[in-house]
Amino acid sequence: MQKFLLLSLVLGFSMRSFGADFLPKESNQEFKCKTEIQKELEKVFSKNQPHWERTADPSFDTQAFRTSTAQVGEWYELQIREKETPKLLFYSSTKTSESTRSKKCKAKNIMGPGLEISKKEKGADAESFSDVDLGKLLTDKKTALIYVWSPRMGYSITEFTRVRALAERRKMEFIPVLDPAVNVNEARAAMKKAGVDIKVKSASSEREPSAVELYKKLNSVELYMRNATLHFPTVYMTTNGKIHDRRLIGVLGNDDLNKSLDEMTGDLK
Amino acid sequence: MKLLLTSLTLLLITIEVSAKCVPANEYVPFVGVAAKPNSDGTVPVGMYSRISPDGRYVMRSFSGDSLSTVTLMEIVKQSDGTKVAQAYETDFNNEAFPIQGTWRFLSDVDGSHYRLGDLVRNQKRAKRQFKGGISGFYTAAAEMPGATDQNIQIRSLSWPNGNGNGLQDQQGTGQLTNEIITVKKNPDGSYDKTDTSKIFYMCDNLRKTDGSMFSLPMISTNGLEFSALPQNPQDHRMTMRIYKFGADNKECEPADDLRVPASKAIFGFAQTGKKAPLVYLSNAVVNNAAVYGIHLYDRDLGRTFFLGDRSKFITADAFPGMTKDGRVVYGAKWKDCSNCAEKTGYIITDFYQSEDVRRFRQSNPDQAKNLKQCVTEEDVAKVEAEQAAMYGLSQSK
Repeated sequence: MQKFLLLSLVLGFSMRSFGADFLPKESNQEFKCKTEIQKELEKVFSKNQPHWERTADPSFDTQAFRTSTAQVGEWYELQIREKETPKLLFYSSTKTSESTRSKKCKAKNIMGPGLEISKKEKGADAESFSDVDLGKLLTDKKTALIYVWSPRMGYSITEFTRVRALAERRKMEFIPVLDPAVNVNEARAAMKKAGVDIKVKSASSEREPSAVELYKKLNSVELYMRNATLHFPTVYMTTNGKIHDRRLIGVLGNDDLNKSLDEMTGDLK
Repeated sequence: MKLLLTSLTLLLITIEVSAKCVPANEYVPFVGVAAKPNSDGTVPVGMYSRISPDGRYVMRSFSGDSLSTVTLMEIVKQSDGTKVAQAYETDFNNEAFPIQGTWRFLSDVDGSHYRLGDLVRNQKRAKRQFKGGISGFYTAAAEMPGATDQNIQIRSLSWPNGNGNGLQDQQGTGQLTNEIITVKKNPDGSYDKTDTSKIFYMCDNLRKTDGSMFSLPMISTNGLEFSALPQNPQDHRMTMRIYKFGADNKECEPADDLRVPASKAIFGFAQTGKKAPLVYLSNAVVNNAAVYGIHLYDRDLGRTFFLGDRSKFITADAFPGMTKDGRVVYGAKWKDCSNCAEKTGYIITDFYQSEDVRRFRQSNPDQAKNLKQCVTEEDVAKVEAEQAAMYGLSQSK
């Protein structure tokens, strides 16, 4: 048994030193400066393994992969290019960076300002849902259902109150987050036109929700990178200080939604 | 000899004229009532925009305060050569859909089928031809290959209705289903439904691999394939995939994987001997800004091309489409400069003239040898003529 443990440790160490665990699994192709990129990733992910997910190729000769980090709202994107050296990009709401390589694989790093997913509207009474808000949800270990919706996707409006009621039945905090591409007036008008009863109801009372709690625009790098804005509604779940990697895309009936949330709860225990 | 030379010169001029490329990118603003802002101040692009095979029409839902819910937008060429998009009103409900491939019919969500020509001529007073097919939500339909006037088969794809699963409009999601109806043309030019298949519950064969829940389904233009994103696949990769309808209409045969999470992936037309490409919206970070762009996945090359125009500030709609001649059309809002006024309308892009394809041609001449240089005006005119007959528009308006 001890021998096996030792062998595993040695194997684990040697795998680690070759950086095999740090590159995206799909990137089995050879590319320029691979060794240097492996080393760079090894430093970045010394404590947590990356979870690479491929995203749309930025161009015909470039494959792009994204991964979250241990820090909410901090993401890396690796762009592997066929005939040129790769790029490693860092995104967060406070700073960004682009690490490129010379032909001899020497690194050059350019820093940039933070990534702003939605700009605050002048005079609007809306706030945004940021990585700080998401981080607080996780720190507080809230069990929450994040419902990303858009007035431009009809079902995300009409199913809003049903999903909210389902979340409440499950004792989950319901957090609506608005499409960052729209303005609050458009969202408010769409809700009104669709005749959605958005009142917050409890056993003894009911009230109109404040604009702030209903129309928080998405301004979270974490949710953007998790593809929250590709389709509406998209649902995320948090519990026990974690956000589930899985997202629920489109309208699900109560049975499928409950089943999926049960599975996700089980995964995050 | 002189005659021969003159003939040769004329022939060369004819070839030159007929081979004129369409513009690489055309920006088509809404005009008339379609350009009127809603009470919230925004001009709606609409939702679920579907592009006709010749790119002349776009069917869209949620058309704004000033128009009917569903409108048929026509892209019209003006005397100065520029294009604009104008609206025709319909009596349809949101998520009405075209019968893809031909656009012989446009269908309301209850399965009422209309001819496009009738809608253009009579708008809300257009006469229904017949009723049939699946009437669930997010329905997509396509005409199957080999149609004759007496035997036109239409496959529709959606989720079943009315399963009492809590949804406001009693429409369910769950397992995908499809149904095939048969239609015939009458001597007076009208159409009747002659047969309806049973409803086929799909993809049981994929339960252990791709799971049982799919989102974002879209049928191909020939009704033989569909794209969809499995919600909880065994491999935990939430990627857009392509499936063939099995011979029994129930099994789903994995055919391809875009390997990326995409918004709805919409099929183009397969060119001779090739597989149908797909277009979709995806997100990216460009110049430190979160942007959305249209991508085209070429299944023969196994490559994805970016189709955006980096010279403009574009917010693309999630429902792009392709014409038979290979152009890509999508709803969008755009600005000519960062401080310029925002415009709303359609962008028409020639895939073959896109920056990414141009670079691909230079760096991979062998792989690119079968790609044409551009879509020509002749290609467009040919498809437009074919489609006018299909729409029933060859009659005078």
